[in-house]
Amino acid sequence: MQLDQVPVGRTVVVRSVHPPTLRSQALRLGIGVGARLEVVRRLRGGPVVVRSTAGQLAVGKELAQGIEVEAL
Amino acid sequence: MPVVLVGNPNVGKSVVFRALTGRYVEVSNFPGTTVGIRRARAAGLAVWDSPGVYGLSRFTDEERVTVEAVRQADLIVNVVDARHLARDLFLTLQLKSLALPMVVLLNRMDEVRAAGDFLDAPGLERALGVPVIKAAAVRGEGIPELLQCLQAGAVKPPPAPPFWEDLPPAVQRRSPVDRLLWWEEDEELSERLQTAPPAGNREAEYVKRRQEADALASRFYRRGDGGYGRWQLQLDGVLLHPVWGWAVLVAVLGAVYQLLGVEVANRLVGWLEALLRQTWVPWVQAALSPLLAPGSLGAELLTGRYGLLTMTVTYLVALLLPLITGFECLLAVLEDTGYLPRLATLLDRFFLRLGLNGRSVIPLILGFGCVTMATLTTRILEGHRERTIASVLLAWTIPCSAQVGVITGLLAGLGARWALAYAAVILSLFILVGTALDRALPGRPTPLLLDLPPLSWPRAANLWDKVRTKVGGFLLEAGPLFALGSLTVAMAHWSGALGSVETALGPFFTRFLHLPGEAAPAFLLGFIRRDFGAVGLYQAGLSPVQILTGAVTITLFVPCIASTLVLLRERGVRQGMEIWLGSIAIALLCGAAVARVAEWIAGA
Repeated sequence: MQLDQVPVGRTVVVRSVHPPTLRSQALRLGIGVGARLEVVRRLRGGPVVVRSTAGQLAVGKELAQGIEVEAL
Repeated sequence: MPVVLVGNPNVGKSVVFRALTGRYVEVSNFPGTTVGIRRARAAGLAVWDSPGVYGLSRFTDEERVTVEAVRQADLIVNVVDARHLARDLFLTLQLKSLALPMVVLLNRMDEVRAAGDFLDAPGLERALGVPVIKAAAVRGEGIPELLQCLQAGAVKPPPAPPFWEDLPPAVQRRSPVDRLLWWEEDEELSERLQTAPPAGNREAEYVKRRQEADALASRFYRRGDGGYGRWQLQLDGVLLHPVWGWAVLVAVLGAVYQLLGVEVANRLVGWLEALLRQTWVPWVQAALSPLLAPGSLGAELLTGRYGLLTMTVTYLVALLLPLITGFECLLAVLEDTGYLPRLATLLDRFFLRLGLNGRSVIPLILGFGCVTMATLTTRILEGHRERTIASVLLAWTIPCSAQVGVITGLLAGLGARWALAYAAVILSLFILVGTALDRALPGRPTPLLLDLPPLSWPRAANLWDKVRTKVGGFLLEAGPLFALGSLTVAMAHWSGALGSVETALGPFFTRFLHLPGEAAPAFLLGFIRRDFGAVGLYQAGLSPVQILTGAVTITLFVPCIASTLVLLRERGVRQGMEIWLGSIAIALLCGAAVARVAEWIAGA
């Protein structure tokens, strides 16, 4: 499943982050393989808001589509 | 050898720097305020402040600057936002693998306490193996302890990272910074040293570091019950709601317009300008009249209509100062409450169509205050592509508050229809230009990845501190540019060039824009002060169609001289000139089109 399809309220574990250009930045901000993310909100056609150990992050749609996750 | 402050963006490095050295630094709450390295001395130590970065590499200009600062460092002070421990520890762990003497300063401990959370600093110190100091730099807490620690000179470097043993000899000879950069696949170094690290190294290190940071944070940071209250969660839901979010945005914009556009830009500025015109200007003219012969160049430059002591002073004190202060106050409130990142999230999908992401909302909103300041702020955007698009949109389509004030006044006399027509033309151009640039420029917009700090009440002391330093810094930076602008006009006025412009360009204006020739100098004056251009239109006795044409043309026409200089500096001379000349072309073309279409509609 991709991060942009996760229903609000669900907690997921990141399996992979695809766009290589963004992978480093995502890791620095707390989104890496194995990170637990709780989907707090999804804006229609827009970013997904997630909560991780590092705090709340808004993840742009294109990036969210590139983040493969697994339900807990 | 200096002590270098390193940390993520927006963790309070500049506040720490100021608390340490007592030196004035521009402080802000969005990333990218410190672009160069700032240096000062504190208690016999050289202290450098570096741009905020999320990691040590050379992906962006900020990171390059920070890497170079760290290369020179004798000792690193890693400033950490204690509220964002997991995020910030990534950089901490990366810095630690340089094996340079290092101190971790846990800033914003006051906010951790206020949220009812608990951070086990001694535990973290033992786990990291470097000194950890608790601080709240805005209140001066922890700064004496930090100074003491620095002066004792007893900070030992952390142990060498394991990867040092796997380095080839060519890399072994390099500095710790180069070793780390090379190991994490820095392309420049691999090329220069003719040897590359194992593929996937960076990824592996980053994943390991992220996991370690998360583990440390969950071990030593305990969230209390007070942290994220119910009202915060509910309000967060409202701000990002597809309907209510927009309602809040409209309300905020309405309040901003009322406060700035009406109360400050019209009333306060009008009152201050009149006050200065009646007191300061005659006083300085009288005081200097024995020294300057009337009509001489000196009199014209210093105390004439466009003089340094008359126009520049009036402009800076009566117009820019209140406008920028008002704007910065509002922006600081929006920032400190955490509203701006939410706005960026809400607007992201629309900005993507213009080749930008939600983050650009900050410079674009600032543009309605002062385009010069906004162009400086495009530094916070991720790449050249985004910065270019934002700079073009600012230079061409965003009217600054000085201009909005006068244009509102111009159009107000004509009725709502004309004001709407003006807004529609400018908004369509904004969308058209953005979309066209998105299509034309190679690459794609960077997807949004934005930290959403918890919503909070702004603190008056923070606001005051921020507004004061930013306004002061801006006036220092832009004041000379505005003075230069006045000098140019004063020279043009004195030499009679202004008058000849009218005779030379007048016929062209009449034929092309259907405006009277007297409007021509207004455009030149608009280069010095954008609202001057619009004021020029008041006097010419124009028809409604001509006023609309003039307002549109003057909005699109070249930005003022200060923004032009900033534009040239930020975007480079070549691209800056392209944007500048482009604004003349688009202003004249759109003006001509508006004139003809409006005449046709009015005629029909």
